[in-house]
Amino acid sequence: MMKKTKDLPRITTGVRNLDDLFFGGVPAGSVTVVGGAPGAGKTILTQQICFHNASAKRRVLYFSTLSEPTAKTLRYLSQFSFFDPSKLDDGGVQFIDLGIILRQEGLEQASSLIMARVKKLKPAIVVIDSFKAFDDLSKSREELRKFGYELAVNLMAWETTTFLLGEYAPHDFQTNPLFSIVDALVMASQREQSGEQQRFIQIVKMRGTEHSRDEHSFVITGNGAEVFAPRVTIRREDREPAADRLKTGISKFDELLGEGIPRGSSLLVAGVAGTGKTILLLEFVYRGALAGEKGIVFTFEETEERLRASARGLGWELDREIERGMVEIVFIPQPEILVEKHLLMMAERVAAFTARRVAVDSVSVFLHKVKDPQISREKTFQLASVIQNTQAVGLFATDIPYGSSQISRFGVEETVVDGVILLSATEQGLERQRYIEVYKLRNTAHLKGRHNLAIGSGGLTIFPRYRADGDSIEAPASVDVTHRMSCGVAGLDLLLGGGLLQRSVTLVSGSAGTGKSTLGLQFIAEGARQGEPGLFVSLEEGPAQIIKAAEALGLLPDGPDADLVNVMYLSREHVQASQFLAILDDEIRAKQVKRLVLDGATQMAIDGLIPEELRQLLYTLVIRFKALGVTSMLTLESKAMHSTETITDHGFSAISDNIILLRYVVSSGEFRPSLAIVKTRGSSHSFATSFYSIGAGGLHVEAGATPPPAAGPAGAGPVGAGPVGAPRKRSKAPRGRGRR
Amino acid sequence: MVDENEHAACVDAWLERTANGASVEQLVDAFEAAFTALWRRAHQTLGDVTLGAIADRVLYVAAEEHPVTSALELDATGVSWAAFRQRATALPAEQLIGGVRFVLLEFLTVLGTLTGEVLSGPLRAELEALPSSVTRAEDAPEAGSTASSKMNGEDSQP
Repeated sequence: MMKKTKDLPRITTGVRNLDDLFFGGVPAGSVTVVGGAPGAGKTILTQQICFHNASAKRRVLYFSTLSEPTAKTLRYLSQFSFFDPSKLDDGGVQFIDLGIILRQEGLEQASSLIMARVKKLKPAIVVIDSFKAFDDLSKSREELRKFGYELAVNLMAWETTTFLLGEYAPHDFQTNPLFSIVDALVMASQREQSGEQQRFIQIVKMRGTEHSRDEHSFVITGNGAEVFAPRVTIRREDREPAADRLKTGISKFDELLGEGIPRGSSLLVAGVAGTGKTILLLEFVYRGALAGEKGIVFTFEETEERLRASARGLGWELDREIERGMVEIVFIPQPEILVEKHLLMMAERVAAFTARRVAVDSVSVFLHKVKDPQISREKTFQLASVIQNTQAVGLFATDIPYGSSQISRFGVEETVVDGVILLSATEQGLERQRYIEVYKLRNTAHLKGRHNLAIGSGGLTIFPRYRADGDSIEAPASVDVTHRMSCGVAGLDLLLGGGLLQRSVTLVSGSAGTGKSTLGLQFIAEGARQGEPGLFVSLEEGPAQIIKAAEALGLLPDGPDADLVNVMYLSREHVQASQFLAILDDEIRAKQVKRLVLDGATQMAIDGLIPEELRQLLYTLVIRFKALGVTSMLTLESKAMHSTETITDHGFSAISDNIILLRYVVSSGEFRPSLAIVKTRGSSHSFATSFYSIGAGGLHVEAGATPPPAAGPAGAGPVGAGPVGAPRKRSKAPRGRGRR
Repeated sequence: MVDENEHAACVDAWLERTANGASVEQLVDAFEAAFTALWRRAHQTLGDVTLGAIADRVLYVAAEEHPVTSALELDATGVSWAAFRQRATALPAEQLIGGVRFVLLEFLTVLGTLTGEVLSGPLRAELEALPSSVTRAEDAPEAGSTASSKMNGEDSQP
């Protein structure tokens, strides 16, 4: 059984965080040497302890020897906020100059005077500044040892806590007998580190109690000494992970992040300059505020006013959120950064503000003076510990060097955070495209890969390439062979064996002027007549022109059915191919679309999208269409006017269920449009080439079009019907001719 | 404060046993024996320099509170009792008892505090073990030497 030990009584120092280095304060009654070169901060540090503890009932005796005259001491002291003139003399702190006695009568008399004063005043604290004067005046090491020992014992008998100040250096520790007598040794120093002069404090020795052995930085300001010891004061607490997860509220970002960010997590937001890190961080905090979560932004480059202006430019009411106390912006000018000081400050601000979201913009600037990667790693870990201890979620921006394969500035930060968000930008034609990637997120299934990101009014818009519901993992939904849909051209339906199978994908390939768009419009219009909402997506022409053309041919249905025809224009100048999926997905869901035409799909290849990327994109699109129960038709521009050899110009045939070729053939000395069905999946079809014309009502397949020799699995049911014999049902989908 | 109360109870019990009906001279003898017993036990652990410093503090404070005790002097060889003995005979018993009580209690308290109460139990045991009736220290076989002779180290070894 372990014997219970008694805690030593301690005195608090009144110096911020110094007590933590002693694990609770300086043991009462101990004798401590405070050593260090002139200017290291010994005197200020000790005087602050004195004034913190002094009172009329708790006295402090401050002996100065052959160093600073007391008058000067008082003059300098008066500049510090801890100095309280009412605590001088009978108020608590009594300064006594030992200089004359030391000069004239030597050590023994000085010792007698000290003890006489101690007996008279019975102080709680005694300071001798500088004790080094005794070293210099002693005639031998033996005399010094005897003097030091007796003084220490006598002061111990009076239970005084004693501080002996002196210009001692590490080489004195082994040669000066004082260091074997005293209970504690605290060294103060200053040197250049990370490009600036810094002060450090270290407890080298402390009898009878555990203490920090590391060197910690400190500063001296008008408030006195202030120790920064994040290694001691910011300790990661062992916590049960919170059950709930954070949803950022940023457009589609949460789709990438799966079930959300675990509370207590810190994520690096890495990217080169201009990739949108600051906006992401700011929106993260802003959206949090709108959702009732307080957020704090620590910024080292952008001032609060500039961030507010950015937010206003994006249409956010960040000013309002700041006014109502939901958001706080803390600007620390880059030249003023003191890593350990501001690390503690951040910890305190986060806790005081009860922030649930924390943005640091950026850790690379915050740690820019740190040269040692291991220290960068440690400081990032401490920052992450602040986040974990408060169960907030932190986003830390980091600038990565151009052309580097690193995912953080210093190449080590990513090892201590819970996640990494990569922001990147690439040139596409004359434009620069932004991307976002969830590179790492612990304990969370998230969408992999890069996804397009746009920054505009309202903030970030993310266009996930696929959804997290598994549509890219599982085999694509098959066509429904029990349901056929009229394509709006009676003759063509016959050639197709009764219409297009539901959820099928049809490629319509043809050269300019062959009626691809008209066929697409007929497909959509026929759907509307059946009560099925349709979406005609144009990459070339605006909605007005398309509708005008459709009306000219008399394609659009009358009455309320017309509202089921939706036309959307996706400008290639403003919408990137990689954004199509997210945009169309939203539209299909919003309008409950059953039929979709993507007119001019090959236009997506413009501006640098290589064929393989386009093929991949189209594949992703049609898989999504199928998953959403949409029957789709994609029109492709073919260079060949009358050849059938290039039906797979772009190698798209594999992604389709049906391929319809519209070509010109020479007949009786003239070009005539013809169509051929070269592929149908899940159904038989006619292999004949049929002439057609385009006029009022759209495409008309000329008589003589040969029906297929035998019905497919679904049979050749009535065109435009659902299951054979099933009653028609009108969709209750929302109506309205959408234009974009 | 538990130890401090225990110290007071211990000193009061000793006074109860010793001071009742005792002459001034007997009281001084008993005091010298008690102080010597405490000194001897503390010396085993603390040694001359430390114990001397502590005794110096105790006697200094005692002299402030009870001037009668200012005649107790600490010299290079320990506590000198002669001056105190001479002065005590001229004092009322109550004043003497007050001074004696203070010195013993302060000695126990300071020694206890400075040693983290490690010595408190053994020191009180020394006081409790003293006989209730005392004779002159010179005549007693157990305390057969003066406090000062004990402090000279003649019997201060464990």
